[in-house]
Amino acid sequence: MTINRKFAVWFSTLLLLALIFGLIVPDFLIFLSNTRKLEGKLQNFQSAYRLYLLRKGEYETIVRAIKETQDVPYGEGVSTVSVEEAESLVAQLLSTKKIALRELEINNKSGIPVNFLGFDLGSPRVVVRIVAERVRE
Amino acid sequence: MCLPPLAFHTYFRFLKAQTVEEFKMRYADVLRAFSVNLSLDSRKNLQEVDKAIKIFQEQLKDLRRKIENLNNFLTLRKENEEFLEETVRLFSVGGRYLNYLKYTKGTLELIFYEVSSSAEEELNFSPAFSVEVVKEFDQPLPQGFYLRKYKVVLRRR
Repeated sequence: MTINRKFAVWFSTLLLLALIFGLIVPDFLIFLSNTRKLEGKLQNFQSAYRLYLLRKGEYETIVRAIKETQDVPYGEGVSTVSVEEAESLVAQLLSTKKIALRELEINNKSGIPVNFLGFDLGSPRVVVRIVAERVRE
Repeated sequence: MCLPPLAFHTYFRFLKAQTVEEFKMRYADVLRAFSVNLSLDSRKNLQEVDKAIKIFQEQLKDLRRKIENLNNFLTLRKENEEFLEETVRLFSVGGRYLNYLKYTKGTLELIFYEVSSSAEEELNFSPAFSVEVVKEFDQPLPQGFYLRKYKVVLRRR
């Protein structure tokens, strides 16, 4: 069996061209166009991410600053405290930044703390009710 | 016969690798933060970056929600801070004794006694509030003192 020489040369040339222009070049062109899209996306992404980091940093600084302030020794709800504690409560609530009040009630209606008889009746109790919102992470 | 296609292929591969390396350098921080691995497969790269962007959008939404929460908290805080400051200022004058305090949003109700040597009342409030003062009683005590009971309602103007 003899191979037609002319045919073989033609065939190999065509195969070569088909390989180059049919597979390799299109593949590269697809890569280029995809890469261009990718570049646009990454550019937007990168600038957005930097902004995000900046804002997150600011947010964390504020939250940390709030968390560093001293806490109030009373939790939410109703508690009974002595007169001295009730006196300092408002100042404490003002100095801490962790608590935002929704409601506050200090009830000292049970009596004026005057001890006429000279007996130590124990420090009168004051009812404090706090409904507050705490700072969250 | 295969040599020219192979040469083209190798050359293009080299170009691709170079581009990918350059991208890795240029966008290092985002790529590292979302652990995106760029490869020579451009379609896969696009997919991975899309996935990372989706994750990032979630994070962004989360941060926005947090910031909104914090802002709400701070607004609430600022509001009751003004009322508390007013209270502290009121009681920084000596001889006033708190009987009842009730704070709800935008309103502060105070009932207090005052022992004072002056005959007329001296209650000063910041102009930021509309104030309602009711004197429940005013009684002279011995040695020129007066005992008064006030009910004060402060409202945000």
